[in-house]
Amino acid sequence: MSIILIGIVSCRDTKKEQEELDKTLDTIEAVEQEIDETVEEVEKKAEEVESALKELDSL
Amino acid sequence: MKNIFKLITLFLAFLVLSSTSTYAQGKSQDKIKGKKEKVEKVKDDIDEEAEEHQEKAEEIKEKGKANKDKAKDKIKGKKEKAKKVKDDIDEETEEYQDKAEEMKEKGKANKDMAKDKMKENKGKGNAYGRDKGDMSGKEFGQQRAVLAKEKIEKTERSFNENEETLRKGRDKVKEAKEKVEKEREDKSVNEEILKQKEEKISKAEEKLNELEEVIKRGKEKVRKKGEEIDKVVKPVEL
Repeated sequence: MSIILIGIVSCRDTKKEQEELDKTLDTIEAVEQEIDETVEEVEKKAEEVESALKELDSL
Repeated sequence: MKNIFKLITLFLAFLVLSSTSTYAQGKSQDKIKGKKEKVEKVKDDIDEEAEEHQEKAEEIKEKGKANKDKAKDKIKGKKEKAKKVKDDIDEETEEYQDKAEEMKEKGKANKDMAKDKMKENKGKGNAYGRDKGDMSGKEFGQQRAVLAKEKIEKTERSFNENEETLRKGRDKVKEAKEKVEKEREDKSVNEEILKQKEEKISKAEEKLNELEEVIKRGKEKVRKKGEEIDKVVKPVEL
């Protein structure tokens, strides 16, 4: 009986832990994705700036 | 008797005189003949020399012509060689261009493939995945959070680099403005050209402002995301 109880508690803990982990990973992945997008946006703009600055070399 | 003697003397004298005269005359004729021969010889020599010179001149002319032909052939040969080299270079350039195009296409295809894969992996833990292996959930979460924090730090460093680009760009714009201003004062450049230059400067300035804004927003976003990560991840219980 006690073994069954330990088993049930253990399974509950594992399920809870997995849920928490999934939640954490979701948050981390969302953060990473937003960072990637931000970096991409900044790099694109930096390229535009460099191109516009190159035009000034010929002045 | 006396008269006879006189007559004989006179006759002898006449004889001597006439023989001398004949001798002199003969000698003179010989002299003329000798001179004539000499003149003939000189003439022959001159003719011979002239002929010789003419031959030499002909020879030089022939030689010159031959050299000219040779030079022409040489130039023609070089021209042909140069044309061949040019053709080879053109061919090689074309080949490289084709290869570059091919590589570009390939690169684009790879990039698209990577993008697709990333999209596919979205929600599965990005590049790191969700397979925690032997680690516990907390440990795995912690590890993923550390990696995310590293990414945030890396992004912040890249923002600093972009800020440096921004600063240098501002300096460049300032210099360009000063240059145009000076040119306007000196009246060394046409007003229309100055306006074109000013347009380029304005465009660069506009782009710099946009970059500044994007960096500012990006920094703020990254800061907030860093805080989110800090909130989500609890220290591992030892």
